[in-house]
Amino acid sequence: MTHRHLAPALILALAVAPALAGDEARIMKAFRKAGPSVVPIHYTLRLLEAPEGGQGNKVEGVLCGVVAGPDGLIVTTADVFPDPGGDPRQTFMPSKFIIKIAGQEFTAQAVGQDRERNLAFLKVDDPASFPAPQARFTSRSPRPGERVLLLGLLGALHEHAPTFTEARIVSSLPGKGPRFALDALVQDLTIGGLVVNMKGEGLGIIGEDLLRSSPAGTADLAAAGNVLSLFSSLSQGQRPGYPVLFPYSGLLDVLIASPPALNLDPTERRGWLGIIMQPLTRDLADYWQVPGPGGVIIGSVLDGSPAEEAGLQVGDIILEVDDAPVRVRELRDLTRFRKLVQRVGAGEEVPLAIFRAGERQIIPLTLGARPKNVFLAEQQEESDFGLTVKELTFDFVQATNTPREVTGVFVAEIKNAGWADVAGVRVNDVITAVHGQKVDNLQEFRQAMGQVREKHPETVVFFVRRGMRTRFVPINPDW
Amino acid sequence: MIRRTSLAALAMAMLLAPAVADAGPPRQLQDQVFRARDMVMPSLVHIEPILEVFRMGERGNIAVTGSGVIFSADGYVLTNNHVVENATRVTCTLSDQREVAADLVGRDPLTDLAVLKLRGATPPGGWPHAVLGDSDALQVGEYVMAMGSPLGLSRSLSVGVVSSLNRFIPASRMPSGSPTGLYNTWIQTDAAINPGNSGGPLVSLDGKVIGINARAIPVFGENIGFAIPVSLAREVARDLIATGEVSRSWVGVRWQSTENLASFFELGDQGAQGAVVGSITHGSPADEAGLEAGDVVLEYDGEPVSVRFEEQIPALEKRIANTPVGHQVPLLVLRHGQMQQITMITQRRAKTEGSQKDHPEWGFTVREVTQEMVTSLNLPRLGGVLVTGVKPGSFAAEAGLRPGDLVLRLEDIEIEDLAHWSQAAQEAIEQGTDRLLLTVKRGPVRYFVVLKPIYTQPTARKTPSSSRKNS
Repeated sequence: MTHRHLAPALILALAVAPALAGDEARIMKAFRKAGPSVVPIHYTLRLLEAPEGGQGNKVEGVLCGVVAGPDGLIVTTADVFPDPGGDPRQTFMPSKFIIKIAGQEFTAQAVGQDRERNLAFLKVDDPASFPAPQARFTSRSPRPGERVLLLGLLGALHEHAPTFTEARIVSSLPGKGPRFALDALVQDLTIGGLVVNMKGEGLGIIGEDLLRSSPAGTADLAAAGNVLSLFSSLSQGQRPGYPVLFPYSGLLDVLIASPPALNLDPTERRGWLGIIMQPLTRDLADYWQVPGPGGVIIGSVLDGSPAEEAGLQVGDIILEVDDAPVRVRELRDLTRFRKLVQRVGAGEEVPLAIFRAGERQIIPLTLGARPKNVFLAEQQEESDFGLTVKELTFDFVQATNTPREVTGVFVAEIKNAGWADVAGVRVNDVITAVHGQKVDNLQEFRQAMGQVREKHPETVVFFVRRGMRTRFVPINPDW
Repeated sequence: MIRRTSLAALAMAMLLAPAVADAGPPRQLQDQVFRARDMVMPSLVHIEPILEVFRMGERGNIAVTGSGVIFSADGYVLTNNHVVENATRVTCTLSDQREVAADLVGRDPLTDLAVLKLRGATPPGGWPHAVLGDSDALQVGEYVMAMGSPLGLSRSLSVGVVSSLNRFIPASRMPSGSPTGLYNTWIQTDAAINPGNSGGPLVSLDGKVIGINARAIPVFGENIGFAIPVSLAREVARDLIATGEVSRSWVGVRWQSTENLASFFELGDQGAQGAVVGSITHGSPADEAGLEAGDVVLEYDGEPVSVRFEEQIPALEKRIANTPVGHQVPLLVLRHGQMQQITMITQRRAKTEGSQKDHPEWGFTVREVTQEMVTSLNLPRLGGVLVTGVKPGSFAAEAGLRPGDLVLRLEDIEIEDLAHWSQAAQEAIEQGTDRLLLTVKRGPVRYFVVLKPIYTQPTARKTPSSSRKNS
């Protein structure tokens, strides 16, 4: 970790670094040549799991990116993508990327992500009309001591106008993969920017080397804190880091040729049992005479879950997971158990020791991935009706006690005084038919709504289920 | 009619009156109010029942006040069900301030009506009693008087008019779990009605009872009170006096009006005829007969059905309720544009209220689960008892039992109903079992609760009923 101690020295170096006159023309030429490949990326983040009764906070921001590949492939930092395994209610996910160039907007999608280097790869939706040129990289490796320009963007106040910082490559960093240290203090919107030599040839991009969140040496981390506050472009609780040069040669060239697969859904890899749990309190353990330091009582087994597949039953008590005792005595211990299961990961086979009818048994079980919940569920907004519906998810079915045979979509949001609201459609109604056409899922709902729009009937009738009862809801649209 | 016309003129005169200081009140209207007052006031009763309530996991008593009216010489009193529901003792104060104890003859939660009978010998010439009038002949704007004990202020009278007739209020649910207000629309009046007026009479200017005051909107509105039409009260009272209850038929259909649905279901005549089947209770007579949601019933038992507007739903509900139990009802049904004949056999409407029971030894109260509650609380099936309250600091609270838990099992005993539960609980208490496993359903989840009671007086527990009297 030599670079950590290096940082304060760098700041000193900066403070006394004089701007070299004379080669202004050279610098400006290089800047003009390479600058247009550096673009502002406006993004919107939404909570992965919205709090109950709403969508929750929305975060908007801007990243700096470089058009680095053909067909509008853009490299930027992966700051906006959360670490997997965090609390989904506190995790923001990007929902939109827009690149703004000269007043024009171009949408882009995330296509890849390199978690280790905190890099993300976006692709412009319509590369044919995209004006920013692809950066021209040189295949030569950066050399320590080389003078470089860091091309980035100014802040929102200056409408993200292109800017640059002069710097020198001061070290080739040890460790996994090529990385180079720079002697410059970079601004927020230079992270994700382009590093060029004095000829304007691309050497690589400015990324962040993330600090390892090692438990050892908290004092060390605290000491580094001062430096970090200067360097890091902290966004939404990401691990702090400081700028490094990720070279094109031997790193970006490979990544650009085939961007690593993107896994935007952090729930996908977490292990999931599909049960509702009650802690095995001392009283219950005594009552049933269950040995051991604790356990988890199964209160409900979800349909189609790994638990159901393995034959777990309501009333079974899980005592061990993968030979490790389950030390659950109180509600708050359940989080630990949940995390354990999540960490083991989807697709992993684990033996469970359970207590059933007074006897200990071993049951092999393959963990699944948690299916979509209400907040991740695909949704469909019908803005003219003032209505947003979502596909039925396991947790919705569970929480509302909806009978298993019921299919349809459920009402997630109702706009005040919209057509649906006025007609008496309510949040959590399950729409099972639209104007006489049965809808089993979101796809069928979309189709049925499309047909209704073509026909423009005076009254559109939804057949809904509310609790245990059904009803027809006539909606009078103001077409 | 002549009288009504002149009243309108008088009302105008009243509005203009303040300008003419010495014009005095319109004599004719004043005289009519006096006359009607004299005809009904002597039969007005102030009711002070002691109600048994289950709160915070305990059984207790509260004293409340309500109103009522004597409507027969032998001392029958009409009032609201909610005034005397769970009454352990009912005292009536007559208009001459005499206190007379009364017995409960019968209650009908579905219409929120009840009948009491004054105790003791009928006085010579009979009890003073009011005449029940004709609520069907009422008109909007007609003068009416509300009599009763608003906020416990007995023998109060307020005057107003019929603000609206045929007011539809969707059926609501009593704390006991029973629906109420299913079979009638309401008389709306601006004669002041406040809590305590409940059960008192709404009186026409000719001194006849035309409604039983039952509801007010005390929070958001003023001068908006609702009375049950006396035509319904008369029928219910007759049944309660005859048998102590009202027997009704039930078919398990939630009806919807055809308004706004007529074109969708291709009904001619803008849906002037027919009622839409909105929902069917699983296993009900309608379900058995093969009726489906979306069917439009055009005829019921050979007579046309007309529910174009929701105000017409209570009349259809009442018609079904009045059908003899076990009757084969032919239905003419429109399904997907085709006429069909369907025969449905009516069933007796099951008990809608669930009784409660307390367990002071453990610190919680439970309620019987009725078929009605299975639907309204979205329960899987009949069976078990519902926890209605948990006393703070009790053994039950310590064990983590919660109101709303459905107790399915006590130790190894699968609980069938309240009687079964009571017996099992009684045995456990008598045996002094100090560690009990309750298996409950909490929402969709099965949950286990270990109760660890300490019985301080094991011998006294053998006769729990006697120890309760002191509490």
